[in-house]
Amino acid sequence: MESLEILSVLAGKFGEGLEAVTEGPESHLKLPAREVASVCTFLKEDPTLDCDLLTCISAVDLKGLKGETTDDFEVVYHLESTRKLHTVCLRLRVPRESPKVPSVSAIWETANWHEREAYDLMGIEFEGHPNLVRILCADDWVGHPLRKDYEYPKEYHGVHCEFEGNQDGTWGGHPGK
Amino acid sequence: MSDKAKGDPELLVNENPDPLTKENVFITSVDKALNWTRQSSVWPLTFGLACCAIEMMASLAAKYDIDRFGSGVMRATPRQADLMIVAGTVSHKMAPRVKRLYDQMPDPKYVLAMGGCVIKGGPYAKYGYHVLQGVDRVVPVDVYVPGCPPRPEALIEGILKVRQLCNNESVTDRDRKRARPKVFRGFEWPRREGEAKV
Repeated sequence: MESLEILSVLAGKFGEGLEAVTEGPESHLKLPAREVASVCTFLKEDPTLDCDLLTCISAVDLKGLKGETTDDFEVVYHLESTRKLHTVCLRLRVPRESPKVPSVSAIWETANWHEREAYDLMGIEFEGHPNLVRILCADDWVGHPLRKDYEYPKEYHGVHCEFEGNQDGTWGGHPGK
Repeated sequence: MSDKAKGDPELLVNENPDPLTKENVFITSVDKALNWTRQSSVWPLTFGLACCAIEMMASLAAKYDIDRFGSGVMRATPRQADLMIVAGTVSHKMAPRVKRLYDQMPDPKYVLAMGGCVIKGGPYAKYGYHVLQGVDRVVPVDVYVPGCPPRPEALIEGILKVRQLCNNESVTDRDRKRARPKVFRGFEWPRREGEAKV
């Protein structure tokens, strides 16, 4: 199935709130966060779509991006069918204040770790995830490091973390000097 | 020596007049003897954290072969190791483990910081949120080997420096006041009562 065809099928079936975007580098389907579980279930179980592989879940911080008026987060799902050989891209936006998205880890097992990574680094909260804890940073880490308004820690467990350049602003030199 | 051997020019004759060395008796200090044995077998702790570990493995292999200097025996336990080669980026998550392994090593112990990341955070120093700004904020470092990653020759040079440092050890210096690294940018870790100060 062609990518445009898939997007029109989905937009036709779920109707309101969904929008097939064909401009830009990648055709994708924009959808509201509440629809993600039903759309993904349909994409996996429909025999003509048959998206059996979740390639990636990414989170994007749109704050300060050129041409962007909001500071929302965007969550991007890349799906693939290994039998029908087509790909689908889904995108949804969540507000910065409460970035909550329904989890798809019940549909694809692989979403478990992808969602934990998006939670760890960008702070997207996946509702219904069986074990939403940090996957890369330490458990007691403060903040979500890939957010654009992330503040670097000054100290972590007593270890001084701030960057120490030389006094003239350059880098390098012998340690201890 | 028999009379027969005396007359035979093919046989080597020990004509050393000193009665002690003639009988293979040598006099030295305990420190010198111990340090001499110590520096001939500096056993490193297997401690590969990132790409520097590849160069460390290369220096173990046949071409560079640090076994020539008695350092080829990588120990998988800190309790049998003398030298900790910290090879690779140390993240904040890893730092307490590095410190714990250092604490588990028996004295006298040495730390070799291999590569830019370990020395001062390397390419992650300014914008990396997860990398320790130099492992000497956690453990005292004896030898710094810069490079990204350092070549095996550089690591060998560093190990030879550690061998020289063995000469600073002394049995009378139990707290290793003389032998400990003078540069330690780290903070004071909580210590048990009576434990030697780093």
